[in-house]
Amino acid sequence: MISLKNISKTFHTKDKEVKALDNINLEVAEGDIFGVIGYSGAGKSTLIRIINLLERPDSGTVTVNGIDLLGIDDRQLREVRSHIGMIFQQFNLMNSIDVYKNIAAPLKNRKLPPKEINQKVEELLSLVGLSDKKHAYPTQLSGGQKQRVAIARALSSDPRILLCDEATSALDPNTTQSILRLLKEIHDKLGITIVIITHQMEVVKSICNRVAVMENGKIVEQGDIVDVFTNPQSGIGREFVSQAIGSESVEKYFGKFRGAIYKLSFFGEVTHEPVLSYIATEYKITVNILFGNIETLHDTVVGSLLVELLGADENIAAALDYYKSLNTKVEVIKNAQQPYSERH
Amino acid sequence: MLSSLIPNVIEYFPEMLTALRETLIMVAVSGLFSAVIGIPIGVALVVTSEGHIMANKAVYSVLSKIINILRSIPFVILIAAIPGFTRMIVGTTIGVKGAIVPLVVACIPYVARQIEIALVKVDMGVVEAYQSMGFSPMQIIFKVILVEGRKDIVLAVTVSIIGLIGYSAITGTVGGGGLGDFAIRYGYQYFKTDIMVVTIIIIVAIVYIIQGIGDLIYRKLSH
Repeated sequence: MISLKNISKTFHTKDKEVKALDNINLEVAEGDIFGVIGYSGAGKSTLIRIINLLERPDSGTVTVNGIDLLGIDDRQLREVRSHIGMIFQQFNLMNSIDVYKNIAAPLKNRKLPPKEINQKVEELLSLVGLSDKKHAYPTQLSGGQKQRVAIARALSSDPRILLCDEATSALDPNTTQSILRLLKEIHDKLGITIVIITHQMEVVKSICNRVAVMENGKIVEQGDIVDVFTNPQSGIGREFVSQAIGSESVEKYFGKFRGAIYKLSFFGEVTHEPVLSYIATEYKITVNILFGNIETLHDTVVGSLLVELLGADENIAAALDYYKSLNTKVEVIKNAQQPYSERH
Repeated sequence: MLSSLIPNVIEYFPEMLTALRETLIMVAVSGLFSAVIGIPIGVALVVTSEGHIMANKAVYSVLSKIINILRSIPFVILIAAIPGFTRMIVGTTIGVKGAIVPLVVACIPYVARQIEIALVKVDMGVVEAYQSMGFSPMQIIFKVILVEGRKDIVLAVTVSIIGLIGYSAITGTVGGGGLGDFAIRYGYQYFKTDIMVVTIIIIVAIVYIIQGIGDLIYRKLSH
């Protein structure tokens, strides 16, 4: 549905060049809720603006719905854009007109008959749960309500794609969740493809089925959310995951532990089994649980455990093999400081 | 009682009314023309500025330079410098008609800059949102920028009109008539102080009324 190939973009300022995007390749399939996560300055906002050509790449190709966007003229581009919805961190509503007119503006621009516009706006207002705020002005609304209006406005042209540029970054955690629920609902109801740019792992893990991690203008890893979450390949990917599961604060103290520390990620059936006590008795290992967390990632339950395993090296190896046979991912966080035999 | 307090005002009352009418005509007509020509130029300045929807360095810098040059010429000199142009447009260089042309020429760049300052405040994020919806540059100008900026346009025009009242007094020196001319002739040259004082009061009242109307519309448009 969206295909970016070999996209590069450099911004030139007076005394330096900033490579915002460096050979980006990205495929978003129809029906995806695709998250792009990265710290500020990673290039993700530039990336999402490439999709509807608010920003033009220096090289590469942008294909949306089979149309090569760099190969069409301005008028055709405007037509394509009118079918790609976009919402923003700062909502970007017109403050001088009321909610109704904000949502109606794109419809009026397409010269739809007033009756149709009216019906459409009412439908959208009820979809985003703001029917009673029809004649309020944006300045009278809360952040969450403004974003709802922006979502209604973005949906007014029946887009097949919705681009969300840090859409929840200016909102408090509760409001963030309610907006994410709304996006999920819209996705399920309308079958719309959603691309979300964010620096909050919270957002990605709540609704995305696929994720790309960005750093310094590059995508350092991408894939299925459960894969990236349970087995991040990049340093920055690991950082985001430990932030999201909350293990960050414990990880600072890992140096104090002498045994090897492992991260065990398990999902599906295994989450119901008492696997830890099993290895403790079966392999004669002492298990020291440092951190535990269970998350629901896009319909999959994922458990994460950080454990220190103390025991004979061969027993630990056997226990880890047992884990792997259970479809559990094992990641070595820290090796033992000295061989087991010398410790006793 | 009035006849002892402001004897000359009463004596020259018909002339004063004529002068008031001339001032109002000069300000209204030149204000209208300045707005009609100045607002589009102000819009052009904004949209051709760097990073805006029709960014064009050449157009922006030419417009900007012309405005700077026109604004740096003192008004009295401007009147004296363009009589040929004035005659070409209205057929005369004196009277209310002759005053309107230099007033418009002086006021257009002023309006244009004021409008630029007003519209630069329109959030680029909002402009970008409408670009993302497939609005053309013209649609963005008329449906987004001018709508979002309309209350600040009102303030800009108000300030410009008040500026025109000051300018219109100067046109009196070249036979433009109006309250300024009246005050100089009777109040200053004939030492009729009461005329000076009353004329100033009238001008202050006009300024207050115009500013009041501007503020009222601004408040109506603010939400």
